[in-house]
Amino acid sequence: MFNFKFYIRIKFAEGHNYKHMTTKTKILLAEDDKFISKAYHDGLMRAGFEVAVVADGEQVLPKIKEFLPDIILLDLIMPVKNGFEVLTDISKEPKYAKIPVIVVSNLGQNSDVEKAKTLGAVDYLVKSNYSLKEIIEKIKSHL
Amino acid sequence: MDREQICNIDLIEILPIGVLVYDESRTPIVANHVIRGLVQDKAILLPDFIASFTLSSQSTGSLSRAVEGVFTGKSSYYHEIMLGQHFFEAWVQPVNDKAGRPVGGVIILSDIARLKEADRMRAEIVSLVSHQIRTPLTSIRLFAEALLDEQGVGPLNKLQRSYLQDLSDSTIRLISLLNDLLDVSRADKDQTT
Repeated sequence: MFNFKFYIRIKFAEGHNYKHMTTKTKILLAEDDKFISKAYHDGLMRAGFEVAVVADGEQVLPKIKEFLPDIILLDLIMPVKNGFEVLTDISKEPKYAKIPVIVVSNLGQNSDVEKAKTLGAVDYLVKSNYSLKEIIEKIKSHL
Repeated sequence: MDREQICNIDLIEILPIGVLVYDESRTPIVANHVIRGLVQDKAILLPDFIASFTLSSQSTGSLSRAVEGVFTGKSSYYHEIMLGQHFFEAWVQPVNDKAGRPVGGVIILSDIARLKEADRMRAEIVSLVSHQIRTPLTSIRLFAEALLDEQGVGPLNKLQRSYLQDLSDSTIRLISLLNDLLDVSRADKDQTT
């Protein structure tokens, strides 16, 4: 399989002292296509990640606050609020703005890539061009 | 003014493109209804008229140099220029006397707003189509790869593995063809703008 090691991370739980925890890397997946969402979710779970999924842009920020992900995989074309708006929302929240966001979209125009990176995305992957193994390598490189 | 000249001026007047003819002293001598509409029927001074346009980001050079260039043997110029947010294609051609000596020039302006709008729409369609086609291809690719990986989804027999590998390879080939098609479309767009 992916031979992926769990990361040992120091987390800050709201309202509590610092505590040392051994935990799975938490990924928030924002993806509205149910088939792609299922493929990513199941594959990432099998690879040893903890995964939360939202299917529209408006749910992203509340889920970040609840789930406290280590990294976010963000689609761009989503209902209610698109990925660019979500990136803008995240950048306005100092507490969460440092969470790396990898845009995983099937929009592939240079203007989309530049816009996403300007808004704070650490990486931009055209979904159809990447296997799950390659996406996991990208995730690991940004943790 | 002879009949031929009158016919020419009438023809210039009814053209749907802007035509401005200027003489050796850089004074406009004919401006048709499109040009007059652009200056709101005010008197036209050639330097002011030229200065009211800006070159679009797609163009290099200078419209004023093009206007002067007709007197130094330059045969024609083409620029994409803007008046406010409105796009035009501008051609500048010399007007020669019977001995072939340049005695003036003609500026021809063609409104390309529709062309620009068509380009914008094409870019949107390319973006939309690419997204719509890539989405199901992505899930086919991911599920085929997950099955081939076998971990967590169960073992495959030799024939199943062979068919799935073909499915996966074909999907990746289709994605690659789509990417090539989009690259060609973008290159074509770059050439026309």
